[in-house]
Amino acid sequence: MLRFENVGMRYGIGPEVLRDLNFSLDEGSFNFLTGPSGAGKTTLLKLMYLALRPTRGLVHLLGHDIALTPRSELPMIRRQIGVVFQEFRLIPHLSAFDNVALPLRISKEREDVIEKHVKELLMWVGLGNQILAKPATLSGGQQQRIAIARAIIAKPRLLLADEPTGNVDDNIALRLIHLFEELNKTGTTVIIATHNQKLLEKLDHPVIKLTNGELQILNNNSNIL
Amino acid sequence: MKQLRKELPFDTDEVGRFLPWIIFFMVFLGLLALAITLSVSESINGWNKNLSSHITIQVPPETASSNDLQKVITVLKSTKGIKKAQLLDSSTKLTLMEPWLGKRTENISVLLPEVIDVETDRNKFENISELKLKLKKVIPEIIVDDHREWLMRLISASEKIKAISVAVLILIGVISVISVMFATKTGLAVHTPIINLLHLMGAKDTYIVNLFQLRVLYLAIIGSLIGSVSAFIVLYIFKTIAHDIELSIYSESIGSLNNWFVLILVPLMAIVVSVVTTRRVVFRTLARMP
Repeated sequence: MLRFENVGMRYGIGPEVLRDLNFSLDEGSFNFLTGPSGAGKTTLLKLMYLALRPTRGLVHLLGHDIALTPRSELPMIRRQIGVVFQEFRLIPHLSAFDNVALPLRISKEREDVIEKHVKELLMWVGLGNQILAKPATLSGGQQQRIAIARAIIAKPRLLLADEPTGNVDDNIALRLIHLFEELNKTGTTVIIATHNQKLLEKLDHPVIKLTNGELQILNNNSNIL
Repeated sequence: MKQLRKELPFDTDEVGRFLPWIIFFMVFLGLLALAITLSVSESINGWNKNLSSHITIQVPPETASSNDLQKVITVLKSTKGIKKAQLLDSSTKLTLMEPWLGKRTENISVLLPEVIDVETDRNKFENISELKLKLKKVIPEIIVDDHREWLMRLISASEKIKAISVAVLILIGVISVISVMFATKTGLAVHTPIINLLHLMGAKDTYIVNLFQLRVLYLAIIGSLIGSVSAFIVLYIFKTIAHDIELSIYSESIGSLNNWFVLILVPLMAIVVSVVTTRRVVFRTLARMP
């Protein structure tokens, strides 16, 4: 599903923010990505959702060697990846419905199918009565649920979430994680970046720990695997 | 019903207000420049066709007998390349003088020159100087007006006007392309965050290009329509004024149906150029994105 070999990443002529990353994740796995602020979590996620290409090393993703994949083929790979951005990145002039429908419209899904699926999913995340609301009129928690709905509407093979529990209390955070676990049961590989230590302790999933650009994979008891 | 594509908030950027004006001016000025070019071009052709094959010969009054005139006609008819030589009668001459003398010429006693209208075959008739020498031997005071002399000077001046009009037309096109390029680049810069997001969701470049293309198509149609209507109103006013003052260089040529078809091409070209320019600029910019 995902394999990094000797991956390094630097911005411009600055120092390497990620160094010699070597790890692989199996299809259908559920992983946390953690580490202190500035450790490179967001950069690592950006490499995974193909917003960046590594400055060295190889990234194998969903059966493709990204370095050898032509730019024209990247959209088809990206359609298999759902991303929940830290700052949500909802399109402000679109309604909740249109924001969630976006990945399906990009995939040229039929409009009647889009309407059915989007309404169902918005109901499921508790926003069935807000389908026409613009993001600015919704609370942070509601915006977050729209961002999650948008990330999972196209049933991605890989779901990446950058601090999805950052703006919510522990109870809601736990509910959100359970939502991701439900999705994981259907075969989606999930990677959640968080530094919510309580969450990591409560849940039994492998943890990828980034410190100063270097990586360790730990089990839930904080042992190196 | 197919969902209207509205991922990019075009209504919030300045391009929507700016682009129809660019296209309006492009079409308006383009149509005027092309109308001038077509008018001058058609007039040149008309003069060339009608006048270059005619020579007017004048014999000042009381300088020649009818016998001499007959000799001149004989010389003309025997010259290679002359199709017709006709001595104009008094009534025809008076008709020609109407702009100066008016219609009531019965009581006017003006001595008019004898006039011979000569029609030549342009392909065969070449040497006007030789003809002049031959005719002066018969009547030394004879005046031979070869229309080609002044026509060539007029054609030369008209060709320059035509060249300037074409240059203006090209300049308008180039400036418009550059303006559309900058407008599109501004639009791309304004909407970069959403474009990046669409890319990350798996949108192909064509998906984003189509958003821009549809927007520019809509704006170009509006700009072209307004520009065309404005230009055609101005051209119609010019045509009416030209007709009223009998300025045939403009009024006759612009009225031709073929010219109207050529003029209609200007707004269509403006739309095509705007859409193609936008398409190329967006594709090239997106190709530099990850």
